[in-house]
Amino acid sequence: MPTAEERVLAEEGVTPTLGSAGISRQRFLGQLGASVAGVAVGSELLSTALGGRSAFLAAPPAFAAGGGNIVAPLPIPGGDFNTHHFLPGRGKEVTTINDFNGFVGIAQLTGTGKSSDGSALNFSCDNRFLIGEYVGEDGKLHRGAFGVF
Amino acid sequence: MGQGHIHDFTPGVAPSGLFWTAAIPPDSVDITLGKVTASFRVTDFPLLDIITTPSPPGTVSFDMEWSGKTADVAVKDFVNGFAGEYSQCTATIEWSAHTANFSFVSDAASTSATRFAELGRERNGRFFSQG
Repeated sequence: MPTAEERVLAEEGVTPTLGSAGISRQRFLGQLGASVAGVAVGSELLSTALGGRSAFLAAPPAFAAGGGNIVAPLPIPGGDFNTHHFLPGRGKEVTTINDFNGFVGIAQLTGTGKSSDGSALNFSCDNRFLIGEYVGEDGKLHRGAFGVF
Repeated sequence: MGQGHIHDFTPGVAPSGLFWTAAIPPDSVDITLGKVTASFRVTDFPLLDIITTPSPPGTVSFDMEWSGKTADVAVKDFVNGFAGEYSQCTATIEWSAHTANFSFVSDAASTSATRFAELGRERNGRFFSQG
């Protein structure tokens, strides 16, 4: 049974590969969590990946060497009130990451709950997920999953 | 939350300006664009309660669900340099938060209300200029 990520990619007609060996996006993304030391993306492959929709997620991953940390993305320029993000709304950019190409979800929600002392509280949230490829602060192409909270 | 804004859980703003954004476990998101459904779940995710100074560390757990398409939206914004194809929909959340001195548990997901929600594909920056 395909993973959700594989189903999304299948909808897009994309078969992600890692080098010459096929690898599912779920497996690849799993490596992000496993802190696997990385593979740098060559400029030729980067330009190929940036060139068109069909290359989405076709480039190998790049991870920070040593510590296994995900290479930080860069913020979008501008944004509402120059905060590098846009408030939720129709036609507004969801991602907070610049040089990003991927899947996004956003939900601005309100509700109720209780604190530990039993007080009734209201809440509001603007939570987002961003999954895809991006050019990190090292100038190289990476893939990653991010939350905006 | 509550009368006044008394707690706010975020990763903070990075020195680069990256706003409220943190890497998440990749298996925390499950999305099926064709059906306009998705889930986003985290457990004991470390965030800061930034309302107080210094900001105490805390953890947040939540289960978010998206479904029920209400509209399709396509955007190509040359001013801000991004494009996307989105499906607006509804969403729910059930969540909890904990710090050393505070905890919160929301009511059931079905009681949350959507102000805005959508799923989609989006590209910007170099991906926008070359796409």
